[in-house]
Amino acid sequence: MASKKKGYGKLTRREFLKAAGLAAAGGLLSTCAPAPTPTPAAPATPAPGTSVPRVEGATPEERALNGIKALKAAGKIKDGDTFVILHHSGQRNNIVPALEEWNRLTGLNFVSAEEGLEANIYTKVMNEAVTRTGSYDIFLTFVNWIADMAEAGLIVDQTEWWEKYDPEVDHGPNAYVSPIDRFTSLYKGRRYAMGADNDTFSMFYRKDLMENPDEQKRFEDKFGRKLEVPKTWEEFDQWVAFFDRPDQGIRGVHMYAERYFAYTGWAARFISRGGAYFDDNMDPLITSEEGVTALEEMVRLIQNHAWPDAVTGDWSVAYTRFPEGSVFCAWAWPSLGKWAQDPKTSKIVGKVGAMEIPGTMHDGELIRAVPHVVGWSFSISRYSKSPEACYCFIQWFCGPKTGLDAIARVGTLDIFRQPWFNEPKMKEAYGEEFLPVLLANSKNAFPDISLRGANEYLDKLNLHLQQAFAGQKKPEQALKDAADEWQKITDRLGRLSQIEAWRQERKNYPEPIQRLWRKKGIFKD
Amino acid sequence: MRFPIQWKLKWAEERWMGQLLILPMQLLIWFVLIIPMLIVIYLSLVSWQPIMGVDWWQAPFAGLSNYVQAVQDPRFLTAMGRTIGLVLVAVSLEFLLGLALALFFHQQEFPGKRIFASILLYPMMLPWVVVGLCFYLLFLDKGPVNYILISLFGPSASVQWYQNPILALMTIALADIWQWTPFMFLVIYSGLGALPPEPVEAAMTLGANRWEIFRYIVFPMLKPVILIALIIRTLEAFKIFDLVYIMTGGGPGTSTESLSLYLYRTGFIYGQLSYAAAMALLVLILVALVARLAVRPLEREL
Repeated sequence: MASKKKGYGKLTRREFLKAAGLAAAGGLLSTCAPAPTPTPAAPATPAPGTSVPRVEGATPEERALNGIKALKAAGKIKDGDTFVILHHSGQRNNIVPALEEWNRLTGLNFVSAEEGLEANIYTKVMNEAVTRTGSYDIFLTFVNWIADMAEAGLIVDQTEWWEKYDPEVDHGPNAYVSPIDRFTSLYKGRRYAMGADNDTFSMFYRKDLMENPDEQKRFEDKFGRKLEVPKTWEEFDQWVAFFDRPDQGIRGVHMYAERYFAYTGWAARFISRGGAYFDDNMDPLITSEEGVTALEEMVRLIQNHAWPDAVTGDWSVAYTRFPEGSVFCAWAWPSLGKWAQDPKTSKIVGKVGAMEIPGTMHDGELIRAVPHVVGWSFSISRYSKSPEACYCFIQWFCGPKTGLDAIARVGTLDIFRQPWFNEPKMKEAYGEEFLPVLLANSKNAFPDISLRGANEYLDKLNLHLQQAFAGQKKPEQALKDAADEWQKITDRLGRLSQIEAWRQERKNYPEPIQRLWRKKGIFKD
Repeated sequence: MRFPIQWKLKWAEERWMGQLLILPMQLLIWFVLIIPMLIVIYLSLVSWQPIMGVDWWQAPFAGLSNYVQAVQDPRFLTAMGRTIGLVLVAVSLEFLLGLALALFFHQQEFPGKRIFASILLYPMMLPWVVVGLCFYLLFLDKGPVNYILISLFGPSASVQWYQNPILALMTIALADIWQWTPFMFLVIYSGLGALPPEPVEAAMTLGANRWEIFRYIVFPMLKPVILIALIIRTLEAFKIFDLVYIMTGGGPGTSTESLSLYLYRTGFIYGQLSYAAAMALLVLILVALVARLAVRPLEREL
């Protein structure tokens, strides 16, 4: 028996396992070896510096369609070719009807791939950067992920196509509101994306209380000035304190102080005071006097005049608190105005006012800094079967006419081209009173940190700010801890590259803020 | 010695047929378990993030620096301590409540007993995300719990459950206990049903009281079942993610962050896959050690 077993065991179970394992590992390694790695598609764009022939067409949409015709004529694409767009499910209503129209016009087959959770889009995008399957042709992602995607080698530089097809983003009567045209598309001075959204924050308040003569008299008696919408943060804090009436079930304000957007309120004050996230060597400036004072003010405001769920809730709290009438004012994305005016979701219909975000006075000049929080931009996969055809689609979708129709439909993409602010369709969608306010706020909008590793920079900042709001840390300590974390991130990702990106990124801020920085000597140019 | 040719053929057929039959499973195990594990080990030894623009197989070798960084990372160590604390509290209470319920159902006869036993199991059948959302809503500032407290004791009795780290952790533990006590109940109740009645009957005949019967007869016989239930729950609770993610997001700050949540953030939000791999392997070693220590008494019993 023993000898038989030994004979049988010329290939014992253990040996077999070893052999199978080696074979499997060999198989996997062969798939992982650099040789068979999909080679990144050769840049479809001409080399920088060469002159690019313009595509004919009167409008961006026309030029995009002509581009598709030319690509077909050159045999680069053909009818029925499929292209996949990865986007958030909240944009279904904006995108899907447009896709049907585009497919009808071009004979191509652009399809939508929805993802319900924003964070999962980032994960899928990064997976694609590693696996290079070409599963997605176009990404509609957060604006401040562009750097990560570009550095991971996933998306193509669109700069030359912008010259070739002219999407009319930064010039002419159809231009985007500046500076949104810049920070939704630029990374290290190159166009890696095309903005498809405007997530500039706005402040909404209870107009009925402001128009109440008794309130006006009481306010005037108390502060010696008329009850008006505040222009500076100092006035704002008094205004909020005046209308804070917890005994009547209404608190003064809802501003985010929670885990993900706690930075927004602080950043608006910090930057309007002349603060900047980093100096030109990427050393954090958030522990400056501007940073600490801004946080001290915000902590006081949140701890004294907001419901506790400003700290413990999430982004949706503004969308329940304000429409139910339990806060006097709230700030959030433009859609909060729609919610507060919809009888299905609001108890304060007809009582809503919108205002420009307050700022800080500097030698008689009011500097407002309005956070543009999140925002969505189109970028194109390097592994797409035809990146140029994808570019044509995004130019067509964001075009002055197509975009107007797409953005006016209910969805999470908001108005971004300047002439749209006068369109009846948009006035109907947003309310006639709100559009001028949104336009003014958009002109003062500054971007989220959009460097490589933006997620980590913002998350670490939020983490410490939330601790300050919860009373677990002194404001100064919270900012110092965040600054220490930022230094580690910068060093890990490569300081020189981050410096290069930051020096470009700060040029995407509104001109008054850049002027203030120069005046204060923070930056020379 | 020469074997007839038919014997040789049969032997060869059996040999290759046997190998052929297990080959698919072996390959599956290699591809879904062993090779990913090897890749995780490799990643933990290099310095790599997808956003660095370098392919993972070309990442610079980092030696043990990711491990060194992990054991010096206060956020990792705190998350580990917090998770261990949460596991100890939640699993202990789940065990005690499960045991009490199992004994009650085992010893008492009452109408609708089977229906009640079934109802008790429902929380366990719910997805984590549903339980997390329900408990999140329960403890909101304007949620039902505060509503009851205010109704009973006035406005000052309202509690900011998610603002205070200890209270926030308590709500998470409570959700876990609510969901997983039924598991303990089910396992122990089944164990009680499988015990031989003779030792208990003999003890009763000899005049032992209920406590003595439980302490000296039932509990020792039930020990293997209890140990298995505790090991399964401990390992499962150690991975707690969904409840924390939904109820507090790990906040305020990181004060309720569990190990899994920190690993998720490091790997998928910050993109530090190498560092996350090193931390994950450290956690794996720790959990394996705990499991080994926990299983040892069971081996003695068996």
